Amino acid sequence: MTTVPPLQLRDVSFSYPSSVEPVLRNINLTINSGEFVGIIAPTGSGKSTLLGLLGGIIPHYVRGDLQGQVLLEGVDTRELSLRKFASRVGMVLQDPDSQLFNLLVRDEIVWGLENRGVARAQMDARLDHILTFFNITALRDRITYDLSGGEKQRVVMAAVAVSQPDILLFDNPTSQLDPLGSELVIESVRRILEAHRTVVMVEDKLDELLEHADRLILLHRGEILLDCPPAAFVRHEAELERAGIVPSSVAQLALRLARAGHLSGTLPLTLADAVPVFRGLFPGAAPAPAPALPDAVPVAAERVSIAVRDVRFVYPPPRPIPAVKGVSLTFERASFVAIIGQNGSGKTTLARCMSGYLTPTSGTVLVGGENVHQLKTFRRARRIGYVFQNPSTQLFRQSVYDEVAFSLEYQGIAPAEAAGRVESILRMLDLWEQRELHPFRLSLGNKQRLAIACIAVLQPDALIVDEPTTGQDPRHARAVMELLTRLRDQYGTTIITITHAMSLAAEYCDRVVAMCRGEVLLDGTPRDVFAQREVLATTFVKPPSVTQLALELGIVPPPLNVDEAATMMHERLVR
Amino acid sequence: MSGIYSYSGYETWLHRLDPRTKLVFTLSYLVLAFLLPSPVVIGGVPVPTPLIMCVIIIALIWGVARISPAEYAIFLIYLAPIILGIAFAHTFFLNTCPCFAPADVAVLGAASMNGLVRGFEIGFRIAAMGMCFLLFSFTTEPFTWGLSMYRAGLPYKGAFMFAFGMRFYPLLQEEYTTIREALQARGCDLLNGMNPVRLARGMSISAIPLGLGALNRSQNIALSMELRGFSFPEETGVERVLYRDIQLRPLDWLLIITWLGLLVTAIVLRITGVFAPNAFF
Repeated sequence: MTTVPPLQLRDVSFSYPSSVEPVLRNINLTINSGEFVGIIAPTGSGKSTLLGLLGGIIPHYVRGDLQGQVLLEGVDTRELSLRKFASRVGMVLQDPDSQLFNLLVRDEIVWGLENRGVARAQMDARLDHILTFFNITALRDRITYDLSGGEKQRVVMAAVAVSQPDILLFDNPTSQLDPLGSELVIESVRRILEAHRTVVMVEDKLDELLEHADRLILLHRGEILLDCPPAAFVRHEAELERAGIVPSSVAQLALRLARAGHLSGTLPLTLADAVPVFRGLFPGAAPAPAPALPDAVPVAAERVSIAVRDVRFVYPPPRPIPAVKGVSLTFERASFVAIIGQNGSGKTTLARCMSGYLTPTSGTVLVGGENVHQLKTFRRARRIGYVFQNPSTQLFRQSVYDEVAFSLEYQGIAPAEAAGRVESILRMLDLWEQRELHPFRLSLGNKQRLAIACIAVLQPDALIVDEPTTGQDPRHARAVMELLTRLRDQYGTTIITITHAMSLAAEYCDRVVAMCRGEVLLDGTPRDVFAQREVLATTFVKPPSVTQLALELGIVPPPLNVDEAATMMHERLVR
Repeated sequence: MSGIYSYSGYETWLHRLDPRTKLVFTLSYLVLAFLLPSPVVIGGVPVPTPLIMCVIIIALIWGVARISPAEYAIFLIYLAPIILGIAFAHTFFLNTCPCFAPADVAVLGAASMNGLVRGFEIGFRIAAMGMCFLLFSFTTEPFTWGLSMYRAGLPYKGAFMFAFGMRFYPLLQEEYTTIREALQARGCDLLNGMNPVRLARGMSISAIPLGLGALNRSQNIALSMELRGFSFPEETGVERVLYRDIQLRPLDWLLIITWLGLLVTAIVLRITGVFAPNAFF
């Protein structure tokens, strides 16, 4: 007897009413029961559209030209209503805030059951079960908007899973979460898989999918480039490169060593798999104790860009949380610094104190020798810039050109000079050709560049960039970091980035400040800081995978990227 | 608490009261602000009764609901110019408009004590109304509020969307703060300060990101709601089952009866002339 696959796409092409060419082309895909399928794609490749088709949002909620057939358990989805879908397919979207409509967690979870007329006693039982299943019993009576990002996303997952759908679809569920939040969400997905549900997940973090997925699909420009198990997936280097997808750093390292003849057979894809395999390469290798963190080198007075002196910040009632506890830091001119740490570690509060948005409860922040909190807004903007996480909240004008020029309106700069500066920054950030476009018509990556351009055109002494790579695929994330490096090099701007992307911090920054519970936990070069694995673990920060692997093998100082790791290991192996 | 007019989340007996009880209180209080004689003389000084009513509400919010005025100081700060403006206008315009006064009458000569007190009275009356709703929204969980509307006969979808609107409001406030700071980062402080002309310009600039952000978010929310079966009962005829319901307890009944009794008494006293308007003058 043949079983009907839960979801199937047959020669599916789809165009939005406004799109010039199809977003998806000739997609043939079968999702089998109990399977975990991961979808990897660069931004703009149609992955959310594909998920929308699988979840019935297209054609029932979002309209467009749909060719071919999407089948849910053998039935063409055109013949099914969104309601029918909702009873079989659960969907978790990217932004948890848009999926929480009730005030209390327990109400949120049972809300879908209320709509389906489930009896109250049964609701109680299912609520208790799902809270235990997702390990969120402690959140039962909490207010949804007071939860952390990871907690919110797990509540959303529980609220979707409580209706017991056979198929669960996830659209980048960890993209807006810190490392701990991501880990908790992935743990919940693991639990769902144990319950033999079918899972399809779009995710930018390839490492997570390599570890758990049965199959990986690479989507590029609306077409399926690859559809194979994870082990085979990473070997398709040409396709991955074409799509701009970087395999996990551990997989890359294994591939390099395999090519050099040091490794053979099935290559490890994840850190957990890699440790025993690499221990085999380096017999007797054991984790090395972390070296002592060198003392900070004092910055010469004329090189100081920002001086943070004993800054404390306590949030006002009703929750008077001491978010920053006596932090003192000196940032050197033209340095590129990453501030890392768990959500709630105080890094954003510190950054907001440094940029003048928050006035510290005590302590001072000097930028270019001036107290930032005593500067008028227009002067402060020239001293220190701040780029927020979501570029859409920072765009106010009708064209890219006007958007950048708007920043200079309040600076009293002569029109000719202003025009020159706008052109220069737009050319530098590759946005000059798009200067007539409405900012909201740009891609996410270009919006982010534009948001940076709007601040960079002021040529501030220092620039704070909050989570510049969140929600961006690896290629765009690297492009943003390269752009910040160029700004630093060209204008001598001090760049401070708040980030959860450890591999990017390791590669691009020359200093890393790790924060925990409002205090500076570690401060030093990326190599020195990431060597302190045990200390970093207290704030749920993990060094880049290759760094962790090297530390497991006792390689100190550890490498920070695949190139360094491959060279170090190759040298040791041929010695 | 996430902002003005949003639920505080504390656990006090005021929070636990049924929303209908608080609604009766709020409406009674509003009507009483117009019925009670004003001003009252305290130590020879005429004090507008609505001012005393405002103080009572602040005391209730602070003493019982445990929310200090510091938490909604911005609301009080914004109220101040409104009250002062109304008082100022009445001081000069109640009896005669100085613009049309004879040329030999100085503008200050048109000022009147009666106008000043009346102005403050009206200003504080408006303040009392705002404060009453503040107490209500601080202490009433939006979804029980929605439930009470549903129980009062409003369709579920309407009641839920109203409650959700109250939940959505803090998100909008957060977005507005980010936009204001994003403008500051560009050297523009149009959304800071109290100058209404500058504020209006700032609002017009921020309307696009705020509006688009709200639109985008509301579309995502609507989609998520449909995916969780919001329209299921209407489409299938399956009856929606509410997980929790609201019920008036004895304390609620006692308070409702007390408030309605006070209200009726005030109306009777006003009709019979015992509560004369403007008792001081």
